[in-house]
Amino acid sequence: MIDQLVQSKLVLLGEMGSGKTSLVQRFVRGQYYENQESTIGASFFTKAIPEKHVKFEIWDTAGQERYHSLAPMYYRGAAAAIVVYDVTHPASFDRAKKWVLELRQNVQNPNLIIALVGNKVDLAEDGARQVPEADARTYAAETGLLFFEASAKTNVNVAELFDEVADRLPRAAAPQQPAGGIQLSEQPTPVPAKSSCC
Amino acid sequence: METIQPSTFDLVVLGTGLAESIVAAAAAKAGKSVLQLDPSPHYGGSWASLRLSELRSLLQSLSPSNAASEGRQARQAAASGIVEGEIWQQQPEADLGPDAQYSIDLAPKVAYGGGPLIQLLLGSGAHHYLEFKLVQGSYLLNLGRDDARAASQGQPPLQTVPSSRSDVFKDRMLSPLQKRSIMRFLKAAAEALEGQGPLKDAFGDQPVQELLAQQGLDKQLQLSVLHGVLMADCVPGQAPGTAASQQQQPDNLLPFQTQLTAEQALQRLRVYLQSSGRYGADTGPFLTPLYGGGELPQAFCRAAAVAGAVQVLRCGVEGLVLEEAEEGTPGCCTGVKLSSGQVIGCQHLAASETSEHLEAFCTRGGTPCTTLRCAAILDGPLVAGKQQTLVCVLPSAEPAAQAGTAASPQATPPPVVRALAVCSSTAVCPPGRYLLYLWAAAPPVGADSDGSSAQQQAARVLQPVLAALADASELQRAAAPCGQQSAEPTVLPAAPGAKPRVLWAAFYSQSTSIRFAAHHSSGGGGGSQWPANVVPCPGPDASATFISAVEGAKQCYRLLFPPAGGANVDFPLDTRVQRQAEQQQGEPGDEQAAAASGLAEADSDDELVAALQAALQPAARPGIEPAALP
Repeated sequence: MIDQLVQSKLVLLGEMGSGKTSLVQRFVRGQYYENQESTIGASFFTKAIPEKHVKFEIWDTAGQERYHSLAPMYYRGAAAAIVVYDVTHPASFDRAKKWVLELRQNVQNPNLIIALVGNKVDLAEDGARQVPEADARTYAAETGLLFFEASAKTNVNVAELFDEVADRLPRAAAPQQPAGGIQLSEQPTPVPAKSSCC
Repeated sequence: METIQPSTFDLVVLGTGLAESIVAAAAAKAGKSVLQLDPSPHYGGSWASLRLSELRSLLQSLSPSNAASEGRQARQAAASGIVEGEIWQQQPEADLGPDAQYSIDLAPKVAYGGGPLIQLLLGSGAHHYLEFKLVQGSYLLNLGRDDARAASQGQPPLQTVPSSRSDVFKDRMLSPLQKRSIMRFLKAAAEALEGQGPLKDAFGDQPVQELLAQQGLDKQLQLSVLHGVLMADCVPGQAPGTAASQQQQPDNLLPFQTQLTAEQALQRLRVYLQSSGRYGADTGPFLTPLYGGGELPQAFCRAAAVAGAVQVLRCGVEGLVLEEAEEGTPGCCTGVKLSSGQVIGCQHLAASETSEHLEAFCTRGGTPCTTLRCAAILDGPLVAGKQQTLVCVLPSAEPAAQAGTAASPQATPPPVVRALAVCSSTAVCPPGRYLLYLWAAAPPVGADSDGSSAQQQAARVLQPVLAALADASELQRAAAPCGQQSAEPTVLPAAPGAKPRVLWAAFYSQSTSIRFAAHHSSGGGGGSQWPANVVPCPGPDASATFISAVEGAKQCYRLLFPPAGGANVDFPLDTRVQRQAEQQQGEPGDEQAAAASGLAEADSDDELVAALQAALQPAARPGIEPAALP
């Protein structure tokens, strides 16, 4: 079954503290949890959604966004991006708009799916909301982004967000990635008896 | 510029080149707090991969007329170690395709599939961030041979270097006798690696050429093994000698000298054999990363960041903060002052050797180590049907025989030149365009008597090699280059058997290893001005593989953080690999049977078939098991 999953790279962007990592933690440790998590720390996750035939390779920024020093490698071959802001911090929403621009500049994949996510809606009920939902929804519609308000803490809209991204992915793998690249792996993989290509 | 928090670190790293990034990743993994700074807006330093327009403006900034106007790019050139450069173009100017699809390596190299670089990638987790392609063919072009000179129009006579177990049999240029002698040698070497066989004591400190000759390899095979398998580089100034030294040479010895001893050769052979066939039967040992070699420093930087390192690009450094020392002893570096004015405290400092801040400690008069480089854009593949190929070009022993060098007779002969051809399958150029890199160690300074330099050294040495590999007849030195691009490059049909045409070429010199050499030759004593807690990280040298860079980076790390428990303590990024090595053994299985049946068709001599298998099937594979083709 695993062979039928389309591997898709998904990158996370957003200001420090907007909740990128907690969104992913919530998603990866949710009901679809498979024990495929990478062991290299909290910045690279894999997560399959078998019924949607997708296996996400999720890249977190590892803090490199803090001083605007993300490597171009971060964007390479990305099929989807989730741009996160904090609904209680207007500055993080402005920063999110800049990330959208940077994504469009750096990712050459014309089919790139971008989802804008207002995180921490659980705090909005307490009156802490600073970014009106209508503003963000209008901006997302104008710019062609998916839009969700979510809460990693109370598990609102997290699964829905990733499901929607998975639904929008083109059926083929990311077209920008030249096929047949060798991925190094620590797992012993049987060498094919006869290599047919190359 | 944002203030950097915190304001003290265990280690500050200046530069984001490969060695700097490995040191940063290792230190972060060992639990040190690490700050990595680069004044440039991109990662990679001397190792970066650039867009075509970026390479163009980098080289143009070096011309004297532009020196004042383009300060930023000139500084970037200095940080990349590039000291001279020029651009040649096809006339009329060719359509090169979309600029954004180019990713041109400043310092191209290939990675052994089972070599130290791949081990570090696996050990650091950085392998998740990269994909590779196999180098599909490895060749030797001997410009000293008559047929190479005669074939100035058609395809150059490339000899296959035996890189997979069936290559030897498939190669129609090898006689049965040659096949036997190479297999005997490889078998004996594989046995010697396990401390057995007739050659177990033969790999001593004698020059490896002597051993190859004693083992009955003829000149062609010696060259093939020496430069194609052992990746030996010609030592500038010792290479194909004067008439006098040629007379003295016994007939069975090569006209090329290297300093490689047989013992060192055996270790290189180990890596070669461990790498061959690792990614499928009949595959060669070398890999090249998608999007170019500039991805490698980025991958290690990301690994460092994952382990907690802080990276800041576009962050200039004004100077180092040095602690006053007593007379005669080097002081310590206690911090760096940033262009923003902020002072960052540090326990240790590692800096790219091209960093201007090391100049204060630099011992002048060291031998500069310069690599002559060429990046060319072709309209066809170097070898038909092969996307990634590696060629070792041996110069003609007689300089006069070289086309295009009508200048004064050279005091030193031309060096061995490495060539790497890549294309859009590794996402480094647009479809329909092909990249060819050439590089060679520069002859020592002073050997070039004509200092006039109407033609710079890189073009003088490499242009004839470029012309031997590809059709450079329409290429002219660009007086005032200008950009031109379109959405899709036009592809003109090439005549069958004709060489691909060169559309564009950049020749440049990259100067590295000056300070590194000075630092280490001083031995830490007599007159060394180096602060004890500062280490220079080596830049790219003229070798073909990443081995020297990785070893240099490890050495830097050990100088900064001497292992407490002796010299053989794990390098921080190696630990996972070593743990695995205990758990896994090689698993020859179906592959071996399939290979055997394939070999049997080619040669009925059972003993030799077994011998070749033994030699090319790594019996004792180390623990890392990079995957097969997906």
